[in-house]
Amino acid sequence: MPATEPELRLYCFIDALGWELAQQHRFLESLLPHRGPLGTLLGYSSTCDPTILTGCWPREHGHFSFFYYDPQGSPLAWLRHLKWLPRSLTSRGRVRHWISRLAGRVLGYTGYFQLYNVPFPFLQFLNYSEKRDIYQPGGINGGQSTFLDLWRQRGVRFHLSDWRRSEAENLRALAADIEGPTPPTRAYLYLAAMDAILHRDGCSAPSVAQKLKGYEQQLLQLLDTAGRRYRRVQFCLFSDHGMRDVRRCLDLRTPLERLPLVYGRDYVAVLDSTLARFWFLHDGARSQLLDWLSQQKHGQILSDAQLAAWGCDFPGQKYGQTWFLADPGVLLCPGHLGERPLAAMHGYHPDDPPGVGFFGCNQPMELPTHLTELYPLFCEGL
Amino acid sequence: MQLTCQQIESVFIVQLPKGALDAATSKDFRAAVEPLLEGKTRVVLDFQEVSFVDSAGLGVLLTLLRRLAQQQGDLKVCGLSKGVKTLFQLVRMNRIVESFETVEEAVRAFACH
Repeated sequence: MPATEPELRLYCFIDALGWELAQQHRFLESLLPHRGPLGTLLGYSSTCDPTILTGCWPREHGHFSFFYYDPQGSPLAWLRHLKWLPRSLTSRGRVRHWISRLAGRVLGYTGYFQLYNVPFPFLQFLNYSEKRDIYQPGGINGGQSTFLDLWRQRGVRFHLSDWRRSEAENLRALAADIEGPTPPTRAYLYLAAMDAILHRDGCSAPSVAQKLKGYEQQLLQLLDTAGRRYRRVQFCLFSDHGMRDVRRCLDLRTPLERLPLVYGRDYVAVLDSTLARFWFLHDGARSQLLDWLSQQKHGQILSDAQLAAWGCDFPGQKYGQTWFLADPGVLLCPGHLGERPLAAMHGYHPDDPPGVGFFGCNQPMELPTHLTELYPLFCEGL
Repeated sequence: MQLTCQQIESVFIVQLPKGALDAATSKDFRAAVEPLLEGKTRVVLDFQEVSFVDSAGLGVLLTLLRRLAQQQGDLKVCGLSKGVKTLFQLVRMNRIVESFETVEEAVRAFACH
């Protein structure tokens, strides 16, 4: 087939491909000679991905972590009845996953919905932030348009991966679209499996090197396919954050439960993997919890100035009145995100070098240096 | 690891070898450079040939900074590639160590203080 199409702009997102990891493995070095570190945000993919899509800071797009205190508006209260199920059953990841799928369907959510390890009785105090699919129109909590919305408005013929499908399916779907009767002029390829491998095996595991080799082969093959259809292919590859090996687990849950305070009456907390976020329901609980938190080692209470500098000063302190951030390499476990330790984690101080993301391109360009700078790139040429 | 060094007036300049200052090379670099810094107070690290620095490399830089501070000395860096410069900015290393385009500028900066 002759290269009849003028140009494809292919944007490839690889979850958790850090700058350090990419450089250490010389990942796609010859294909992506124009490359550099990409600054990340405080938080997780649930924070970063809306920023990639909109160019906005978290305080603007309103996404951070999945759970936040909202007892009046909680759509999850009915799930508290599941507390009667045996813990031996509901503590299993697979069981929680299926309960989440079912609950998500009942609630009519189109976004990524997971109950993780949040105890069922606590859910009546919490709301969920990613109810809608952020890749579809109206998916961003702050109401901003994404670059995909702009592509839609401008009538761009584009291909978008489906985050619910496997990487192999998404790669096949894009290749088929490229070879099909109406090839896209822009494509957003979503590859998410690296994140899970790093969490499970750690940054130095052979499986990580193997995965990167696999990506290289798959992407080179895809570009070969594109090269036969298009006269010019601009290929940009980037990540939302990096990853670092876990060196220690910090159990905040057990000592928190031992305090003479009651969840839902005195305070509400969400124990993410690297952040513990608190809402105080009266002044006594505030002083007691702040005193307790200030005694914790292996982490720090974040100041308002830090949260503001990182764009996480949410209106109404939506995601917590006090945030405790674990030191790099410290995993808050057991917690509300997981019961068992992981080999690697992200979501530490945004300046932590292994957490820095990656950006690379096959053509010379002014390289973006922060996640907030990707959006204009997606809108170029429209 | 063999390092190329020179002295310009009171400033000691160490040229880092070509390649990466990362998990694979930073231990060797530290072992090679530390003895050279004994008694020195004004040091410039020339990154002209360095294409990549990771957290292990940054860790060695912080160690050297601490060591020099203990002997009332200071460290400056020069010749950072675009990628390394961006990383320094992203992880706020540029607030801890002063960076210059050339060895001459770094040496001049010492003379000004």
